[in-house]
Amino acid sequence: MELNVELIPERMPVVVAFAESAAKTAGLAEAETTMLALSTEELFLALCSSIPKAGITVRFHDRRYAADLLFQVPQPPDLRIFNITSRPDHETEVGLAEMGLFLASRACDQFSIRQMELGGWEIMLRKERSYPAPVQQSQPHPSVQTWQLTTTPAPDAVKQFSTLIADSYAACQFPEEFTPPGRLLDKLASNEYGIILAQGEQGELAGGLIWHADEGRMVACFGPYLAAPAEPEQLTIALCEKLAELFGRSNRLGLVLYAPQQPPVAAGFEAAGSLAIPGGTIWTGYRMLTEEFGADAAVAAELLPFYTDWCSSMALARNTRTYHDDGETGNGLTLFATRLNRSTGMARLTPLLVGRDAEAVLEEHLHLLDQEQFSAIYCTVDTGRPFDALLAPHLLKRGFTPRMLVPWGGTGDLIHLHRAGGSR
Amino acid sequence: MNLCNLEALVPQYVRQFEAYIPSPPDEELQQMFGCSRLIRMNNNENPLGPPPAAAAFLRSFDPALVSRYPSGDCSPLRAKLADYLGVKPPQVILGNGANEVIAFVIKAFCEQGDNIVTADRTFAVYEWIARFSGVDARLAPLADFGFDEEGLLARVDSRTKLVFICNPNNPTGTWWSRDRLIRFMERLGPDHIVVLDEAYSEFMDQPDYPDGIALLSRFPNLIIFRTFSKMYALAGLRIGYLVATEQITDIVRKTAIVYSVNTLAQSAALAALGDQAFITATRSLVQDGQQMLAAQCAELKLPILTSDCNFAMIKLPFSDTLAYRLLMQQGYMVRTMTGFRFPGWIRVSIADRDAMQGFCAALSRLIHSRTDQSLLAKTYGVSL
Ligand SMILES: Cc1ncc(COP(=O)(O)O)c(C=O)c1O
Repeated sequence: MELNVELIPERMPVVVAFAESAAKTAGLAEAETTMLALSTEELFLALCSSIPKAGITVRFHDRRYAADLLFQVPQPPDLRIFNITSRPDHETEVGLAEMGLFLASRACDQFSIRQMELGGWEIMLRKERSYPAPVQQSQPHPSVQTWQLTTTPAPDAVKQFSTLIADSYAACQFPEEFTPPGRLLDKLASNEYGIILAQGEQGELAGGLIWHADEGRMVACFGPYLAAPAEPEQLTIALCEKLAELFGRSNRLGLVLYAPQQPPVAAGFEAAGSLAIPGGTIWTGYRMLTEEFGADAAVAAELLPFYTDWCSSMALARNTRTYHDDGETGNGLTLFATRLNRSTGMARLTPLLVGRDAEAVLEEHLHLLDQEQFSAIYCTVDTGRPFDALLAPHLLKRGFTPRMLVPWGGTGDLIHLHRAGGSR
Repeated sequence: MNLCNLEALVPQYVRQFEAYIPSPPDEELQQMFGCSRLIRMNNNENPLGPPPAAAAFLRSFDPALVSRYPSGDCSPLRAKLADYLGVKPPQVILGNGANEVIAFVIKAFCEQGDNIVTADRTFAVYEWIARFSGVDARLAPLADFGFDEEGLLARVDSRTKLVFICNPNNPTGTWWSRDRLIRFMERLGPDHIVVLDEAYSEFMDQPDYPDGIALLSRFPNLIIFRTFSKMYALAGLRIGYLVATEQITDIVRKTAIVYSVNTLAQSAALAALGDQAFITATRSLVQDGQQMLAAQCAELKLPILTSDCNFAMIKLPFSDTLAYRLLMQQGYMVRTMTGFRFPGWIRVSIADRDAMQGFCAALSRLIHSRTDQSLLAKTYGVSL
């Protein structure tokens, strides 16, 4: 489904009708449809004021578990509207841009902007479907002696796996979208997620893992989650090697494993750091898929000890330059993409642009996130984008610590920083 | 000019395809990885350098000749090859490396909607060229490290134009015997073309290793690929060829690029062809190198796949891409096998004696510095 429309406020009803029919097609419930429609309305008006009369294309992408509305615009709108800290201010007379997209950033599950590879910009609104609460039906898992791997398990096996995860692992050890079973099945059907299951001769579940390949060059992997295999280490190796095999000849550069146990070295994963999250610790493992030839890296002096330590343990060849702020003109403004997960209290800030106002914009974001009780805040800096280094000192000053390194996770390597709640 | 509509101009199957990134020059890599010299053991090259006659030709080459085009269809070389192989000159088509010849064949026979069938863990270029040409590549898993007859046949349908068999297989070194190949050809029938990639055939010293060319009269749907890059050590000149029935070469010639094989390559290949003393010397170097590797792996309790070919595959107890980086720091460049869908394995090309000794020592240091071997031994059934 696709709609070509001019950015004039009179066209709004057409766009909203398009959003509503998209939501229906994707099977969203009434409340979710309304949220998507309201967010669409808000975004459309903001675009009308930012790039009046431009012709845009609105596309609908049915992800099964969510409806995506993609607004493709020929030139960048005023980017300030994307910072979630831009809020409606009815006291003073400010432009729409200053107000920000209050609803879109809160009522939708994902709200983001990206520059399209071959020209133009794309703004996405994603609204996810809601699923019935899981019916607890814990079954005992018999010990499985010999197993086979499958990447296309029957829906029933996936449901069993979802239940196994929910019953046997702490909530912090798996992304919430792996339950309830209906949602996991829809995620798998969208093809952005995949699964590898190990089953015994009678189809008994031995364990498995789930991967998620989004737009980046990494594949995020979760698990292995094991039932009762006779040889857990061997099953772990088999599952992880199958995963590397699946992506070995792909355009992906690496696998990032979020594991409930220490990352399995014998299965090809290197320790990449650990993340403290509400309720526990997640071990992370990294596996490069390609042969790398080394790279230049720009790193803030404050992060240098962390970065060089990890480069040495991961045997990364890096030509590291310490980035100094010599006052040169950089980007005009700072822009964060923000992903919020209210149920786990986690927030992730990804700097899209880092400019001279970085400190102030960061401060505003943290203030807002504190107010809204987010207890774990993550931020990444990219060694391939020198201006990101400007942000690092401000992050450290505000209680962030570097926790994890993902080589080639961005333009260069991604350093994940984390601030646990109340540690300011 | 802003190419705003570029996205619309690019076919989906090209857009999805990721360009291959070749490695940077040695000096750059040495500087990055901090090693004083770099030994490339990643491309299955012949460490002896070209056969003496080819080397002599290259030394005496008159630069004035490069202002002229080469023979457009390599006719002197084709005549000699035909004579050497016992076929007629029109049955031979040369290309800028066997890689180019793969492209000629896929272009000649496949259109969108067609498919090729090959193994999942073999030389990648068949799959790549098919994919970026909009042709589906159907992949049969290897069985016990070798091409699996049943798996291949199960994937063949009415839109299958080509079945690629790499014999011996890069990277496993496994190969089909003459009987096995004949049985496969008979079961497949005459409605599909079988491409037999014999890039490493000159290394094979086994009585029942088949000579594909000798089977052409019985199976006219065969195409055989060979190259001067491996045994004949002319990889840098880029020259390879195919041999098939005239009926087939008449078709492939339409999609072959004329003048793509340069003058130096044609004449060096002509000089190199059939140097038996050189072939014997290379085979003996390969045999020594394979033995050294096998002994080292036995000592380190690492599973290894050796063969007559000039490469071996070694299973490591940790990530192959990590091993690659650590070996680069020691000045040895190997091929990681994750890209061949063999995670945890590396492929090592046989180099000269000194380099092999150096590599074995580097491998040993690597394993001792990074492993708890008991788990691997258990998983792969190696006794400690
Ligand atoms: C099996 C196989 N076929 C073909 C080729 C390509 O050879 P060329 O250098 O002639 O393009 C190679 C090179 O690695 C190979 O291993």
